[in-house]
Amino acid sequence: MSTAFELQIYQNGQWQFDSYFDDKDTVVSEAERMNASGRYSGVRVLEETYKEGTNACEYHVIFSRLGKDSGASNWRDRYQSAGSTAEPMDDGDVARRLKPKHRPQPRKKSNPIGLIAIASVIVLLGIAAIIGLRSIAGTS
Amino acid sequence: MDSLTDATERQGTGDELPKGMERRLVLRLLSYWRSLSEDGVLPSFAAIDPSAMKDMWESCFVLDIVGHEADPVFRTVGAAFAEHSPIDLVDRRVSEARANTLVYASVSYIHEVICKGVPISRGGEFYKADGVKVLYRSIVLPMSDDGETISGLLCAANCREAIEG
Repeated sequence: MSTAFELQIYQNGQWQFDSYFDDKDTVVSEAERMNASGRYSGVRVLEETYKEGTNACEYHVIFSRLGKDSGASNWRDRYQSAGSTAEPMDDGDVARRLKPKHRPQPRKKSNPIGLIAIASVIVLLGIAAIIGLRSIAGTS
Repeated sequence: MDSLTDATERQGTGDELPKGMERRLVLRLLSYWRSLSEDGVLPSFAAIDPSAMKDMWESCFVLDIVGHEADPVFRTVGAAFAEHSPIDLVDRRVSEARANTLVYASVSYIHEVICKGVPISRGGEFYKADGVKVLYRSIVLPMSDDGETISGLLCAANCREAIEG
């Protein structure tokens, strides 16, 4: 098993590879320095673990900072994987790990036909009540 | 891999650096390289000013790629490598670097940098001819004359002997 670290920056609406390291402390230090510089919209570090036995790579985000001016408005933009890579990338694994626990549920839209039907019933009842009252008044 | 970053820098340059300055050579050089890189455009060798990076230049070497893609040529080799290399490497090819030296370890992944076009930093260990274990950390940075095509590599490395008890 071997481990490497990819430093990525957020540019033009997507994560782009910036540099590669084999030392976690070094890459996280660099990511923190880049984030503090204010020069980048976003900075993140992916830990890449290659398992010889299964010939598979796993990617985990170990550092991620995204500025408000990044233009990324939702979690998919915030955590989208880089556009191109020289190695196979299990996007599903990253997506699963980054899936928010409380994704906002879409509001239920009101049914206009139901509202019209209810309004019609109220109007009809009102008319019936008026007619009823008039007829009572006429008989008395 | 043994962690060597802090100890290596303390031994090599820590005393001369201003307080608060990043000790790690690879990060200082990467920061300098970024300062020369505008909007993701690869910097050129013309932009490098050795006098502005005195604390790093002796630990750097430059590889020329144009016309030597398969086997780049050393154009400049910092004084710090002299004690780790038995031969003068200037104008020699990468393949001529002696095994089990700091330069040899540092150029082991240059083709990966040429392929990916981004900086790569690696560290590790090797055993000198006398059997002493050496811990090292290195970085290779792509350079370009036109901002896109890689024409050379700026490399740096430092090391320390590991005390095995």
